[in-house]
Amino acid sequence: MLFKIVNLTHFFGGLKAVDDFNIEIGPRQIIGLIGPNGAGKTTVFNLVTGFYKPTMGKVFFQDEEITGLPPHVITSKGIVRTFQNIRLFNNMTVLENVTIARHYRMQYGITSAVGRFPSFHREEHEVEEKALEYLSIFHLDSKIHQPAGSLPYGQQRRLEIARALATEPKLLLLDEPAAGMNNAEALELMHLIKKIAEEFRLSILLIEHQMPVVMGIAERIHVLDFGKTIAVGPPEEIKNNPKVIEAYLGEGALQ
Amino acid sequence: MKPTTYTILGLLAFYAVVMVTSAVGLMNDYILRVINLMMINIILGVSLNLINGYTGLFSVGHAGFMIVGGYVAGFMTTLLFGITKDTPYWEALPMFLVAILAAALVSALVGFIIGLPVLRLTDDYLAIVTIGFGEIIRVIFNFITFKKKVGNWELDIGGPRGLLGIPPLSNFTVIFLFTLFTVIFIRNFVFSRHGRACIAIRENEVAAHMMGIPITRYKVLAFVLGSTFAGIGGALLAHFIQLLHPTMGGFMKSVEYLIIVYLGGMGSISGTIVAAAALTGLSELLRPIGELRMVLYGALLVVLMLKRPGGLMGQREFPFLLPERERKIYALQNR
Amino acid sequence: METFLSQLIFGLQRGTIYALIALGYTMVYGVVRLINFAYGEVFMIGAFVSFFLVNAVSLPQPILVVLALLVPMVTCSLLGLAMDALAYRPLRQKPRLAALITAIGVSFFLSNFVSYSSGETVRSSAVASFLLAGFLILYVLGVKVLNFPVKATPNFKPIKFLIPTVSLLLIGYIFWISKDLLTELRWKGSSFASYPVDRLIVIEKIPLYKSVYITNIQIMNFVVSVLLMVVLSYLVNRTMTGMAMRASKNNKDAVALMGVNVNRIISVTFIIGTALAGAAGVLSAITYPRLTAFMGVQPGLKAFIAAVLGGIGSIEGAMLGGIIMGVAEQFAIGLLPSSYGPSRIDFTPLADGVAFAILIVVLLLRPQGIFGEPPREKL
Repeated sequence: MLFKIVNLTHFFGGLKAVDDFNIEIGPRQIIGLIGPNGAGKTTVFNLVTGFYKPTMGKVFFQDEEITGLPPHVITSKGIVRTFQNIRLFNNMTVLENVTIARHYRMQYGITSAVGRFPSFHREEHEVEEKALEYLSIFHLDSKIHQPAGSLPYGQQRRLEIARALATEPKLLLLDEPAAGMNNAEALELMHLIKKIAEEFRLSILLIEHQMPVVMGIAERIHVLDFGKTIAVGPPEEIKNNPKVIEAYLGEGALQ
Repeated sequence: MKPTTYTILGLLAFYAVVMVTSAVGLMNDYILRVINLMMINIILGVSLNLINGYTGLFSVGHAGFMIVGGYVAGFMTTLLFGITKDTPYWEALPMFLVAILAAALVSALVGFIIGLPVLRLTDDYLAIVTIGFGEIIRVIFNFITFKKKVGNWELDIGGPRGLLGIPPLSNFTVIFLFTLFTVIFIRNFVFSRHGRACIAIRENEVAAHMMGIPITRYKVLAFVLGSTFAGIGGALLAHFIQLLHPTMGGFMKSVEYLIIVYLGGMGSISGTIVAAAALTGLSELLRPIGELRMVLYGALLVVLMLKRPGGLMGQREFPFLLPERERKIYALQNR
Repeated sequence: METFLSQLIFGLQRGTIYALIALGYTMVYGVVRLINFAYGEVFMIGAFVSFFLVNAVSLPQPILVVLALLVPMVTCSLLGLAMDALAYRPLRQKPRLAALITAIGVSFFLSNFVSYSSGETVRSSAVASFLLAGFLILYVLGVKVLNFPVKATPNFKPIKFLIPTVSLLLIGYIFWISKDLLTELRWKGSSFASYPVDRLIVIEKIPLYKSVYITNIQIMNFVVSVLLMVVLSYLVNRTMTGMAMRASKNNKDAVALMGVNVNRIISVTFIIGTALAGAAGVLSAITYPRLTAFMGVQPGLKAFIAAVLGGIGSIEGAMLGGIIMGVAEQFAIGLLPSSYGPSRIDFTPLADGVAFAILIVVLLLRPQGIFGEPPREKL
């Protein structure tokens, strides 16, 4: 098993934001995580990636316990995420945004940097080539020297995914990657995600509100409501699950 | 010729002009003094920019680190090595360099001790702790006195009187070389993976953390490096103006360095150099109006933040200060 | 025991002053997440306004005592309003660092302005204040009546200029009425102005227990502080404005959606905070009658540390933190030898370091303070 969460529980003050959450993800699986607003989906991401420390429960990755490790260590283990509200380094160029993701794979120290030793030039050259590879997959290679904040919204979303991929993760957590896109754009993005999952041999855990999108690519879906898992199963089963429909009723998401 | 060659030639020309004019007596002592002060302020400004501008922290205690370096070096040259005005320069220089090194190390250590616990918390705390640090440094240096034998006299030095009689070891060449070293060091640091990590923390701490950057480590690193160079600047300043006073490490002096950084532009070495030179020159011109200068500084800081938060240069650099690759990108962007 | 008790009384007195300033920090921080570094300077200005007033006006003692406290409070709250409107409000949507830098600028400006106004320059300060006020009036009149130098737009509200103009006029007036007195006084460098305590109150020692005594100034100090804190608690806990204030701590946007003018709430917070700091300045000046332009720096810092100790954002925390800070510092002064060893070293200056020792301990052990909630990062 690549990734496993056991009995994950988290309190905010007296509020149980995540209640006994369990999940298993195998290699090269795409799993969906859905639920109404405030169901605790993003909190699960924050707990896995080390931004919050869980009140109870354990997280395993490649048979190693990673519960409560800080985010940068989680990333170096091979888990990376994107954010619901885009978090790019706005004043840095598109290229620099991606090279940052390679930071922890680079070796040269402060002395080499200050003295401009050969290792500095070699690694900087390598990282640029590598970053350009990722950018070309997302059709951003014509904009590498623009500040990331100046890109249009859709490209910013793509850049964020490109940046996450550049850390060479084995598990990618996507938090509403299609938010703010229309149906056509969202579907296009999903095809891209499916393609990269195959190409890079990735597993993906996906939070998404646009149902056609999740239903289209996830092989299994977990549904959260008020922190509790109310259903797990393949998309067709989830679509007709009365509990899920009830949870979403009034939001009109299942139409 | 490559643009880097022009930069080197320009620097050599500057050095040669100052040396020759002062040797033949064309250079006014007063102007040379102002040039030296400008360069010391460039060291302090650029190092503070690494902390406040590039890494996005808010240290208000730069003068505190400066004076720690000044006192360490000053105590060493006067008390430990017993250098006086009459010591031949070539004999005193190696000891002076050792004293500067010690000043840098002690400032770095103090920066580490302060930075490590505080930088794990939200950024507001650094501001208050560094202000507090400046004040406590004042209290400590007010308190520490030493006895020194000069001939048959036993003198108290240090304490509220300050440290007097520091030998004038900082000459133009020494200051020039250290300024060059500081600017090149910090420029090369900033344009490397380490500098990128610092800037990423400023831009978006959460995303930087997720991209695998150990944020606390880099915040502490930037803070310690900045403090180290502040210590060097302090050592040079002490041996230039030949006295130190506990109040020089306080809040007021730190604000002057803040103004250099924010006037020049957060995250611009070029801006800091321009602002340090301009403000040093201006404060000499404004000397007749004395304290009103301080009133204006306060107002300037407010107006800058309200009307021009990017300062003079924003985050841009003069092309001649950029490494080759960045210069090409700069040319592409501005075509 | 006796020394313990009398140190405790002195410590409590010190503590109430810190608590009053700390309240300002904590309230503003709770609502706008801004450390308004300038409270120390408000404290100093409160002391100076009272100093000018007591020197310039001759009134029966009881009236003078009340005025010496109330006028600085009102002046300081005007100053607080002006500070917020001119320096902080325009930056509310910007990164928090910008406002923090501005706050440093404001604090630096105020202390150096007062320092500059010492001695013979006081006349020019008064004139400068009047000129600035006059310029503002002319500007408003020009725009409104003559459409010069710019055409009046519907957005142009002369009322916005009212507070700065009135405060400038007030400052100028205060300088002017006291100019003869002030040209002889200096509070620059190592000189200071002495607060004329004897015009307000004659110091009496009231014996409590053996050699322990309490002075009438200390009693006044406690009464005023407790009164102010009670009024504050009432305001915050029992009025609509106070409710909005407490709600703004949690979610400003939601409060705005409820139809509350959040800017008004923030202004009220500034008014209360600065009035309290002003009162603290007066109380402090009566107890320690040495006035300098930079007298606010240390109490301002220590009060902020007190607020952090109590849990920044928490009103009870600020009160408790202030008291703890004052008592701890007083005991340090009492315990440290003032003449030690053969070279008679005076250790009491080190008492100033107690506050920072407390700060370090708090930051290491419980950064959220006594009453604060652990910080929750918002992602």
